[in-house]
Amino acid sequence: MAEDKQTYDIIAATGCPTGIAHTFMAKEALQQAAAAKGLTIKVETHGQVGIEDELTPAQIKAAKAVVVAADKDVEAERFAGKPMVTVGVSKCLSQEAAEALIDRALAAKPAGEVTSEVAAAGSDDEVVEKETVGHTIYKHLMNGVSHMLVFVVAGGVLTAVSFLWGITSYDSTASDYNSFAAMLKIIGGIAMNLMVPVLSAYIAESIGKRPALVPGFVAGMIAITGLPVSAETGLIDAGGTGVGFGFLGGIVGGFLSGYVILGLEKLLSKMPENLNGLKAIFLYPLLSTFIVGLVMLGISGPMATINTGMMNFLKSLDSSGPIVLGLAIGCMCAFDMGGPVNKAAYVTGTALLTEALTAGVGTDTYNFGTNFMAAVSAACIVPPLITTFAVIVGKKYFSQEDHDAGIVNLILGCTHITEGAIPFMTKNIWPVMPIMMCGSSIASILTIFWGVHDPAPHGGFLVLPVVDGGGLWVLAILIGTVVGGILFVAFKKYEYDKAHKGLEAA
Amino acid sequence: MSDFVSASNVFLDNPATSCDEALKFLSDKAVELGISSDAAAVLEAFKAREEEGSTGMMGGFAIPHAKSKAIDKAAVEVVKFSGDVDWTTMDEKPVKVAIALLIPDTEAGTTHLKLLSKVAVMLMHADFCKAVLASEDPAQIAQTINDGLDK
Repeated sequence: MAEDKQTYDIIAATGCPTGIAHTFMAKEALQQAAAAKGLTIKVETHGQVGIEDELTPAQIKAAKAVVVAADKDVEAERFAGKPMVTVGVSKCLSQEAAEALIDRALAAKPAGEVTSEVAAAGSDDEVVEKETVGHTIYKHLMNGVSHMLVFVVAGGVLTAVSFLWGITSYDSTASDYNSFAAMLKIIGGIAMNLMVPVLSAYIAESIGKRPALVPGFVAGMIAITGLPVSAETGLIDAGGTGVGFGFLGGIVGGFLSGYVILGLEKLLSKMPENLNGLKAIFLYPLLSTFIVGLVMLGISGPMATINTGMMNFLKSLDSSGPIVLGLAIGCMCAFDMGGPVNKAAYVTGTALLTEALTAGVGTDTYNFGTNFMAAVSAACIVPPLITTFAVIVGKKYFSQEDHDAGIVNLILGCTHITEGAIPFMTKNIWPVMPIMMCGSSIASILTIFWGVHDPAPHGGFLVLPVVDGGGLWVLAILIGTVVGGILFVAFKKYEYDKAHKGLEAA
Repeated sequence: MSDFVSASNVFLDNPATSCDEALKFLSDKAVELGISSDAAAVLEAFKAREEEGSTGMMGGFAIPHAKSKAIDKAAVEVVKFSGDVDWTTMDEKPVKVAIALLIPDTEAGTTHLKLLSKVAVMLMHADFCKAVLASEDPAQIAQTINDGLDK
């Protein structure tokens, strides 16, 4: 798709429920009005046939004012921070009315903060040219992340709340069982499980529009479930279990789905137009899901191998001293946050913990297992807390949405829900992933070094009373958080300064 | 040269005096013209759209539209009224001409949906409105719209 690189004085978005008449009449009125005033204008229409003349972040950035004339959602949040007027579409159906709206928009005070996507948009043609590929990828990714974020918050907080009854309160055989807490955990778990499919689906949607949602969701589900293999036969088996590859797999699946749809559209473009309905409801979903599903299952096959390889690797580090072991645990936990690498560290931790609890207090096995578990928990708690620290200290470098998400991450971090950091990481895998790994590693190393023992497999700070050396443990986590947080703020400041230089030049 | 609108879709001297009567007439004609086989469903779709907000415009024009599964193909109907029709309009003047859009509720036929949108946009042009108000010849009115589609 060739992107329109020209910029305009006025940008506008129009839409109406039917999407046939008023959307386009308002566009005409706005164009007549702008022409009469000697201004250039681009009008994005949200009609029955979809979005046409879509505005780019660079155009939003360059525009002097925005007019929204719509009776439906036209994603006006993109225009935050611009002088803008918003009216119903019927208030924009004559040239005079449209001229008045343009005047009001030009005189309006900008409200809110420019979204990071718009701020980051290249301000002159040369930059746009250079950044096109990188920027489009970023745009697709952001579409996925912003849809995913709310699932993380809803699921994460509900899960965290269930821990208030005790970390095994969902388990009907446990002493702290509570049926309400179990329900909270179930609901929260389902919302969290939707996170990766939603990420994948909306990356796909950004690339291939609505048809891409189907393969996107399916790819995301495969990313979390992996290729199911029967434990008995070792063969692919719909009743077996698989190892997923977490959010990294979701990103791969999202892009794959989007581009498969674009490919199919090209391939089937020769088909007669009266078969369009058939394409939309039959051919696209069927073919794209088949292709994407096969590819995803294919690449998720080796995940189990990575997973067991990592677990063996970790166990082999027993005797290598606190620094190497802590570094390995920290890096693994923060690497893919729920993927095979993170899971390997966590599962190894719980396996060692089970051995430890069987061996009993005072034995070497007990000390090693509980110490290992404390290191894993510390590494899992740090990433969300890093984001909380960063959005508080570096408030102006974050969008409002990120800021609020960072605050919620305080709850998620304190309850060992690492997933809260995923949206931040997805936006900039480099350098955020190494920053998280660094913070987590510091916390793990110190935890091992100070001999903290944690006999609980989950629960974050809620299990502090049973942690032996709890004070030092919290200190280790805080040190990891502050170091990672400072690095994260430094990165965001660099990014912010770069974007603002662009703004001044514009 | 487009022939999207034919003279048989243009009706003159209609005696309707209310919006409901006009919509009823348009729905019945839609069945006669083979655009739909269910007049009641088309009427309901027209009325549903009016309830969301009147389609009365300025200068004596209204642009009612119906989107329904009962509509088999995208089409335009034009009706000129013999008297004034009571219709909520933006300039509070009565309606003299209704240009109705009939929209099938499927994803297919993007091309035809775009033609309907172009008809709507024509109403924003004073020349077009004048030509339709002045003419009493169905073929000529149909031609005026078709010419606009070619632009």
